[in-house]
Amino acid sequence: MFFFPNQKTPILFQGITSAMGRYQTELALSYGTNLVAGVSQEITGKLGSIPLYSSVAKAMRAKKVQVSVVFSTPQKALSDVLEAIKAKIPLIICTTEHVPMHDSLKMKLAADQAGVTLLGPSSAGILNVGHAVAGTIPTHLFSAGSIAIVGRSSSLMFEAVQQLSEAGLGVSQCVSLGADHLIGASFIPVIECLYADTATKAILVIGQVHGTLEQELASFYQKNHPKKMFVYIPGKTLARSDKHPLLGMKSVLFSDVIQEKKTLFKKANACWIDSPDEIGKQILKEYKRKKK
Amino acid sequence: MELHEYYVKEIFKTAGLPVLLGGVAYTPEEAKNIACQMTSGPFWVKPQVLLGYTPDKKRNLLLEKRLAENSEEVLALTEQILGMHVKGFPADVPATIQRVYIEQAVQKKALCRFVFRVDFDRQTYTLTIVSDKGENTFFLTELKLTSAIKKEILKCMKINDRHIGRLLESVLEKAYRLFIHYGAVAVELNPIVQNDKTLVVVDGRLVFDPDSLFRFPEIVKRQEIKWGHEREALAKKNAFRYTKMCGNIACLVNGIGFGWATIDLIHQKGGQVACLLDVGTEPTANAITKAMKLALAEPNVDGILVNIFGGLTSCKTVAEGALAASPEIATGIPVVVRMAGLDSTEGVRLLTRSISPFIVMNKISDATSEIVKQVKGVL
Repeated sequence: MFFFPNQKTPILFQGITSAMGRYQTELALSYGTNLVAGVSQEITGKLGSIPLYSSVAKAMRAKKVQVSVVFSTPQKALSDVLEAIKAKIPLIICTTEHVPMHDSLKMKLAADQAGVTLLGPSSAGILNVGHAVAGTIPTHLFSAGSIAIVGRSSSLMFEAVQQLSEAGLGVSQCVSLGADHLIGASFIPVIECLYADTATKAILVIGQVHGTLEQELASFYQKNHPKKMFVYIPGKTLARSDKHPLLGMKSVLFSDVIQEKKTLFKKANACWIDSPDEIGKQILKEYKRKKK
Repeated sequence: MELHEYYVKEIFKTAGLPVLLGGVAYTPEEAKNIACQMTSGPFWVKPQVLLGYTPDKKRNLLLEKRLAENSEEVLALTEQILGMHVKGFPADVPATIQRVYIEQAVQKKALCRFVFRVDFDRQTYTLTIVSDKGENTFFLTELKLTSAIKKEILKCMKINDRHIGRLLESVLEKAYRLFIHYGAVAVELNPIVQNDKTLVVVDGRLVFDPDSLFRFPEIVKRQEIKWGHEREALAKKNAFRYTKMCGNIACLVNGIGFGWATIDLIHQKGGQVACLLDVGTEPTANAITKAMKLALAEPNVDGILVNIFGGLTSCKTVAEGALAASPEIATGIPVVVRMAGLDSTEGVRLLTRSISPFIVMNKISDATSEIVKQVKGVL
């Protein structure tokens, strides 16, 4: 099951002694994240105040870990994620980019079978603003507020955060699903949690041309929409085509795919954002309208 | 990532798939020799070319396979093909055919034809098989083709001949094993034909996942640059991604989704993007410099927009990289830089402190408007 880690959630870093692992350890601790353990094959003992273990199973025995963040090379990502799945860690975040597609699929299938949630590969993780960060999301950009952001493209999500800040709006939760073709968790479990999250009043979704996750989300939202949803998908002016996943080998234009997704979201009563420089403005406008 | 047909056929053969006899030739004499070693004609003469893109919509006859009745005809055809310059590519593309693949041809009148393809869905492996009886798609999560699935396939394809059924099963299983072994993006056998009492894979593709190539150094060694993809290859070497488009503004960004959003804005404002340079989440200064230089060297680029949102990317690094490329910025080529996020104050300070060719902007909307305006001024 998906959930938002808070300052009490015990978190494990796999690959903690890599350059990225060390860097993120400092940032996470200074944000008040409850980082309780690290897994490292290279170093034993401690990294600062964090105890190191040689395997996930050992870390799990010593600390009741709820979330694992994986900072591995593409070569090691599969075995590290499978290790976390085997230890039944309920929420696993794989931040590695360039993971082979077959490896991603194996991770996803194993996670589904074990009943744990996998975010990514290539996910920037989760930021519960003001409480905890699990992943590589730059916390310095965020101020606390009531908009939640869920998306595929991390740079674009950060752009949206800045626009919201400029509009005087803050963020409650930020979740990156990962931009890869094959990823673990989809939008729906995250959105369900956001519905239950009292800090969140509205949700911004940054989608992707490829795949059908947005269609699934639109039909989910149509049935169940207690909170306002804003959607932006980049790529509509690109003169390119994509292999349509439902039509086998036929290719369709990006603009047609995005138009199809737009129609579905509009039908579901979500608020469509047409231009990437209007994200902040459009959400602010809707907010003011609501207050009147 | 794809390889030349003759490499693919070699891999198919090693995997036990039934392919036709054939060999690669670099000279007309070699081609003739290969034909002589095979029992009898006809033969196919296939130019070996990896196309990055097709230069024009018209079919390029020079690139298609041709039929030769005997070894003398093979010699004559190969003489025609080798060294020929294929028109329609830019001048910097070495569009000359250097190799041909000589293959035993099969009769045109095949008893049955199948197209088989394995690739991905979002959650499963997808296996599609097409014949004159229709098209069927199967979704699998197993690493092996179980006999239940194989039976199901034969049933759907309405194959009653037990001999052919068994042969087809074996072909599908081997192709599927190849797909799993290489962690391939797709394996396509197109078509598989019945030649007398046997099945033969006439043409096929094996599409590799560039991210899984670290497991296959022998494949990496055989990797060659596609025609028209020289810039993509250079970019890859320097750890960024290059995508060609048809306008006159080069767009340097970190992150592909962010890049597409930037392109959308430029297009909405009346500009046209020449290429997208994606330096990824943690670029080095060197990658930025190389990306800038690549954009500057492209003849149809009239302006560059650098749009960076620093999450993990340090704007200071980006500024240093951009400054290193500044001596090559010719007068008249506007370079608009927009940086936000991590170390952006430092980055902006570096770019604005002395006489620099950069126009520094704060917001994505202003930066995209500015580059469109600047480039229109050039024209």
